[in-house]
Amino acid sequence: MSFRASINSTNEQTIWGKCLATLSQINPDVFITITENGVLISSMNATDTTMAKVRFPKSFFTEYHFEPKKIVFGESGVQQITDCNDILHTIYSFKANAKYLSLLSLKQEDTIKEYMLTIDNCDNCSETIANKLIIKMKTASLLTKEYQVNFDPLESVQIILSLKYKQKFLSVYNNKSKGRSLDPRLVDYFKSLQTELEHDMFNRGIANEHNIVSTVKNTPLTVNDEINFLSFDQSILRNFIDSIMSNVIEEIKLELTRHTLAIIGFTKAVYNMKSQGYLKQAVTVTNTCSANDLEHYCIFSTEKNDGSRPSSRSQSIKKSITFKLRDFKVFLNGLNCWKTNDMIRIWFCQPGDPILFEITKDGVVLELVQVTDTEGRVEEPEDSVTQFNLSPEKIVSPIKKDTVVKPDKLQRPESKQMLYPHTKRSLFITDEDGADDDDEDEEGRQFRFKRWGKQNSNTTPNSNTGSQSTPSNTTTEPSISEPVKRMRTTVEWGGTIESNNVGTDESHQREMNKAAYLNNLKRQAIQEDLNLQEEDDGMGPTQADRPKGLFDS
Amino acid sequence: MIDSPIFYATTVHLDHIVTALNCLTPFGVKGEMLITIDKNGLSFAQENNHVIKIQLVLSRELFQTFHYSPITETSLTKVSLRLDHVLDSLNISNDRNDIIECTLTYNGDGSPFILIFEDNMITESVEYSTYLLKDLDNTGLVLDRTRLQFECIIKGDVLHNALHDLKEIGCKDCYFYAIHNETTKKPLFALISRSQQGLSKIILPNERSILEKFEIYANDSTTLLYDHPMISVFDYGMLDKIRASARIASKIMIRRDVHGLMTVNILNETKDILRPNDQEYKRTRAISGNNLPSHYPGIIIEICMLEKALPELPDVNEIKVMMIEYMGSESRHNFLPNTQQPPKKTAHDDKEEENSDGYEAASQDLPLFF
Repeated sequence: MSFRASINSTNEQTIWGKCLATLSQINPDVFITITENGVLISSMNATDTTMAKVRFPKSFFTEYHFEPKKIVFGESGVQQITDCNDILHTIYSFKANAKYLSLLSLKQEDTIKEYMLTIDNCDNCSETIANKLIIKMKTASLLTKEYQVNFDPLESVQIILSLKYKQKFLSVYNNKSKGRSLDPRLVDYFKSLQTELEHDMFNRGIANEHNIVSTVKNTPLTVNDEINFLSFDQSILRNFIDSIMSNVIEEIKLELTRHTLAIIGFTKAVYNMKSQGYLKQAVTVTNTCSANDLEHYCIFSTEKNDGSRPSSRSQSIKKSITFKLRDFKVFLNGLNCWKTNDMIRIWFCQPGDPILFEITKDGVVLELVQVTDTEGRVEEPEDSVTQFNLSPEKIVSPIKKDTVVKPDKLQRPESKQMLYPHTKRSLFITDEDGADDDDEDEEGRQFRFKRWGKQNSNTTPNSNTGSQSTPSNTTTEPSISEPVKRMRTTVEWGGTIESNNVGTDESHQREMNKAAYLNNLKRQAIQEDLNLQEEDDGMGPTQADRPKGLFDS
Repeated sequence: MIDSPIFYATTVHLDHIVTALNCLTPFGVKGEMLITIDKNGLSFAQENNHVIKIQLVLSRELFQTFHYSPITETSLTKVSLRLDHVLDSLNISNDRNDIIECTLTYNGDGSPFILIFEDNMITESVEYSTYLLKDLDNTGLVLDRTRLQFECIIKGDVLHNALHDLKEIGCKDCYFYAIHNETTKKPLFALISRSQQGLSKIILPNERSILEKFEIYANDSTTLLYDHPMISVFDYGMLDKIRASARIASKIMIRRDVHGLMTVNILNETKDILRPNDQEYKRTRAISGNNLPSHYPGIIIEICMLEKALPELPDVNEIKVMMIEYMGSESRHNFLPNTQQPPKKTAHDDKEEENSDGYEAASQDLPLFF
């Protein structure tokens, strides 16, 4: 036997069958790659616009043996791959009919006690079973079923778009985060991604000339580096898909702003022109959810020119991406075999670049890559030297209350947060990249900012009365003692203060933050009392920025 | 109905009749079925292309009243009806919740066959014209009981399961493979399917509780033959016609004679109809109580079908190889034929193969011993 794997638990059998069924809906022919770490199944639709991939880890199977060296028949599927750690992996790939495979593994009337997949392409295997995937089942009713599925051994072309995206993602968001404190869960996720990239066997494709998967980017960020990241509970998407008339809706658009995520289903099509008239069935459905409901988000945005007012810019950041519903629906429906809802992770770059979805469930990784509409794409300016003028801003999702790591976190009474939302908002938008006003949770980042806010204390009260945000480009703020070069990216800005003062030692920093926070609480309370008095006769705290917003736009 | 007709019978078990007649539907609903009336009951028969024939018997115990007074004592009355017509009228009445009494009457050649449905409000009467009497030609479809090759009795649901699986995988040709191992006395009965995707096999359990009887004869119905596989091939389209009957079967007897005729006898014990049709059926059953008469033997079906062709030699070899490999990997049954048997060479080769297959496992175990 060159390959033998068995799946004995009913739940896993269902997952296996359902995943195959999902893939077969994208293309009846799937590519199966067997590695020593598990099985990869991928399918790409006929027009190359959608690719779905499922990775079953070795642990998914009750039993797993793979000995590629014994393969004699059908050796055209044998491939040898070295990863960046110079470890040689031998993998075996073939093409098989997934319709048929899923048929053989979907739930049947009697429970299957043993479900075994074997390939016997050794030198002593008989010709009749060479190049056949043998599926053997033993059912509870003592029937023994054995199916032979023909396959075509062929070398697989691994599409490593997900690795590329993750690398890009890390290089944009991770390396700069040392001086800042991000949501610890996001940081953890960065770390796990890093290890994932380093240990993936196909990571040669993303490695540099020294065979190192580098996620550190030294050059300034440009438009080309754009990548946005979203992660939230898949039930949000599921609910949306279930609620729309999926027979009419053809496309989905995700619109992400700093405060909301809008999922828009629409169709451009003109149906039944003769009978029902023009554009009778053009439909748009929008679900909007607050950014608070998202686990993480990272928005990449570029500032076109320094003259634009940062407040309006930061408010008008809107990332949107459009893709087709059909295959996406198939993919989501395929997840029904799991009872739990997990986080769906979405990476997308500019419109026109593929969008990547990833869900990890019980070690099984499901990936979907879809092409997107090019509408709204920003092309890179011709003179790339002037890229320096571009100041990419990266917005990272606010830290959630249920953050895993608590020590540096202090709870504020809820009621107080509700009382002074405006104060907080004005503070955040000033300069700390991406701090959301919904983010009432205290983190070092904000405290730092507030300390800084104290330094130029004249701006803080102002912000309450209407000059809602301190401009991020410090050229207009001479009072800030920051080196100008740091201000190219707002991301770096918060970090540099800390690195100047206490270095990058996080724990120390957090302590500082904590102390600062306590001071700040006190100060804020006093200050906000004052503000309240001021504003009581004027506009309410939430109204203050509204005229400004209109004015700006 | 002043003069009592030659035949009349009354029953309330409409659902049971519907269940029974549904077994005939794979043989073509548009075709004429031949109803034979004798003093023991009704028999319904249908055939396709002179290669497959079904005969279904509803015994007289099913009917509360059963009257048959032929002109001569032994004569049979035959009448042709269209299956879909009968089923349509039965189904309409069967959908109602009330207990419906159904009377079947027929007054010999030239008179219509009449179904009368009565509940406490309505009496409905359906007349079927019976112009045509198409007798069935049984030539070649009669089992030669003295020259049997293979005989087995198996539980109905197991065979149905297997047939259902074959259907799902798009089986084209179905091979029956049966072998009796001399040393272990263990039988092996497998259905092997050849489809677009390759060969598949379903090995039926050989436990006594499921495979009640299993014998392979040396062409004379008496001498038992061991270690010699019986392979016969059927067109799956044909074999699939059994499926509807197997669905309601409790026991199925399969016999095959030397002429390549296989008969499938199906006994449906009324106590345990294994697969009630659906929710609908259950409901009707619950309401009418399904109190089938206690001495009613159940639906009896006999299907005779001819082999597609004699299996070709390469196919046979392929199947043999496949089965022996299976047996090899299944070491606890130890199915390997003795080496002095005719397929000596193959068996030997496969033994080697089996050894090499088991080699991995053995080498893994080795360190334990050292």
